[in-house]
Parts: sequence; structure tokens; C-alpha cells
Amino acid sequence: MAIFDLFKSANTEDEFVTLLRPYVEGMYRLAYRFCGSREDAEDLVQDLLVKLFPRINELRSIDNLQSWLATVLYRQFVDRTRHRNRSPVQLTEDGETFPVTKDYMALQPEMQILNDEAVDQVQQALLRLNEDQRILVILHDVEGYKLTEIQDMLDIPIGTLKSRLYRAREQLKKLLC
Amino acid sequence: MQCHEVQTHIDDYLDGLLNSTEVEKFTAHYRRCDQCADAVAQAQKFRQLLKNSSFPPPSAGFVDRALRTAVKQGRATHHDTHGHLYTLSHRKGFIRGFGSAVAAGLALWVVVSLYPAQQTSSQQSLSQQSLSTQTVERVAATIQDPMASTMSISLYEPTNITLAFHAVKAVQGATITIRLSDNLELAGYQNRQTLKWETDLLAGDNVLTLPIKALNPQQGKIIAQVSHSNLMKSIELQLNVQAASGATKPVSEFKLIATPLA
Repeated sequence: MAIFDLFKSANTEDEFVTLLRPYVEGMYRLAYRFCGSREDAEDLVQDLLVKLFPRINELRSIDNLQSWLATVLYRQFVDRTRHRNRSPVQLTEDGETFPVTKDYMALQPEMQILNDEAVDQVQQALLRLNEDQRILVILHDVEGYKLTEIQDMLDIPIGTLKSRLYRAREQLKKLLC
Repeated sequence: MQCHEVQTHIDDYLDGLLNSTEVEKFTAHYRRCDQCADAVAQAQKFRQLLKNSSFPPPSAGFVDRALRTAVKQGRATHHDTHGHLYTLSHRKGFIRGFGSAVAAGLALWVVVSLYPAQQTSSQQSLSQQSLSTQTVERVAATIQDPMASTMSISLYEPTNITLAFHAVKAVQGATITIRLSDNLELAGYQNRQTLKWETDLLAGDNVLTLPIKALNPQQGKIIAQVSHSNLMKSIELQLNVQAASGATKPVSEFKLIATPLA
């Protein structure tokens, strides 16, 4: 009966907020590791939450919500990066345009040194890894997800993950020296 | 296990990917080999360094803001998809012609009806239909009604109370607050006396049904409040709670309360 929808909706909204509130800061932290800037991380999490609200019924039934949210956050990040890389120009805040290089992410470390006061050396080094390596190190070594979980998240065989992780760590050690 | 095997399996060891036999061999070796013990310690230290890397906190109030925005935009999505507000039942023209009697500015009207919660859907529809068709004639009289009205409900018997928020024109981001006195609760939601949320209102009637249950025979009270920008209007509904045995079911009874918000 439609006349009851408002009440149900209010409860749905409460439930959505109650269900996701404990995870939002963790989502932001992971998004920050992926993006390397607070603004981009907040945008990424915000966009994802907007997409998740209509899926409240699905969210209720998920056993390991933290891992599930990390997976969808990763996918959202990849989609966004691809979209950015397809775009030939981007608007800056003052409305001017600048060309997007193929290696857009490689520009990030220098930008972040200027922009973020609380970024440490590890984060800077992470941002210099290629995207595949960075995602893997972040999920496994920084956030502590198991390789078996990451296998499901990224849909990559565990053997590939192990060798990729080994190379990423070696690269990271060089960058931190 | 030899040194080169230990060096190869350090990550597997730290990742917990070795079986118990391999772990025994691994630990047995590195406990007596300073070079391998140092390699394991370095690997652990490196991982700890990564785990402890700092990050700037989100901007102040981000969590609340992000959740609020998600809810708000989620509602808007429903609106776009279905062509009407999913959260509100809408009976356009319910108080036909009445809108023209008020100024062009924002005005909201609250209409209250009441029927037992156990009515079937079809009975509810009939009840709503009946309310709707009689309303035009009733409104002129009810406009002068006091802000507060009184109804009767039976003790422990869930009763649907319908509030219709009438907006002369569409209102975005109105806040609706429902407060119940301590002796009332929303049926099925124990100890829930307050409900507050933000919603858009369509022009015309926006209907909300609340299943109210009285917990003791004192007089109860429902306060419904609608606010938008700096405009606010509230309505107070007194409920006489009757003992179940002597209660008269208010099947056909309804009252209208029309309250301008200006």
C-alpha cells in the first residue's frame, strides 16, 4: 500500500545510515590510499554511498560487509580512473583546462606534496607504484586483507597476486630507500 | 629447509600460507640462522611500516554529510525512476480548488484520519476514497478548527492514523517530525516515540500512515511538524485511550485538521 511507503522509507533511511556508518571512515581511508588526495577520496566514497542506498536490501544480506564494500569501492575507483583517462581535458577549479597525460597518476605525488600536509613517505611511495601494484599492496599490506579475499575482490589468481605483490614490495623498498 | 628456501618463503610464512609442517621447518631454520632471522625481522618491520602509514582524516563532518547526501540523492533517484515520489503517496487534487484560496506562497495543510490497523488493504483504499470524496465539503468547515483535535483509540489495539500533508506547491527538502507521548508507540517498533526525516513534498496531498498503539489508558498525544526553510507548522492530535473492552472502534470516524504553514 503506497500510503505506508513514507514510514517504511524513513526506516529504510535510518537502517541505511545505521548499517553503513561504522564503515564510512574505513571506506574513506581505503579511498585515500587509492586516490592519494582527500578531496578525491571523499568524492569516491560519496559517489559510492549514493549508488548503495537503493541497494539496501542487498546490503542487509551480506555477511562480510567490510570486504564487500572494499570490493565495490575498488571497482568504483577503477571506473573513475578509466573515465578520467578517456577524457582528453579536465576542468580545473578556476575553469581553465589542462591536458590529461597518459600517466596521470604519475603526476599525483608532486601534487600531493603540495596539497596534503599529513601525507607520509609511505603514501608518497605508494602513489609512485603502478596502479595494479599499488592496489595490491594497499589491500594486503596496508589494510590487511588476506590473499584469498583479494583473489575474490580483484578476480585474479592467487599465484599472480603473489608474484605481483613480491615485485610491488621490491619496488616500494627501492622507493623508500 | 635451506637458507634460500626460507628467503623464498618469507612472504608465504608471514601471510600464513604455509602448512603446519612447512611452518615447523621454516621456524626451526630461522631460529638458528641469524641471517634468515634478520630477513624475517626486516620483512615484518617493512609490513609494520606500511600498516602504520598515516593519512589525513576526512574533512569535519564528512561521515554524516556523506550519509545524508546518499539518502537524499537516493530518494531523488527513486523520484526520477518512477516519475513520482516513492516515499509519499500522492493524491493530487485531494483538496481540489482549495489551494487557490491561499496565497501563491508555500502553504501546507495537515489532514488527519483514523482507522483500525487491522483493516485490509482494500478496506483502507475504501476508507481513503471515502475520506477523499467528502473532503471538499468538509474543508471549509474544518479550516476554522483549533490547532489541536481529539480522537479515541483502543488500548493495545494498533490503529492507523493517517496524516496528509497538503502542499499548495511542490516543496523540496521539507523536514517532517512525528513525536508521540510516552504512552504511545509505533506498532512493531518498541519504544519508538520520535520519527524525523527529510523529504520532498509534491503539490497536493502527501500521505503518511502511522500505526499507533496505546500502552496505557492515559490521554496520548501526537505532534506532527513540517518545516521548510524558516517556515514551520506543527499540529497536535490528542488521543483518548479507551480500555479495550469498552472501546468503540472508530471505523468510520475521521476528523480533518487544516493548518496553514506561513
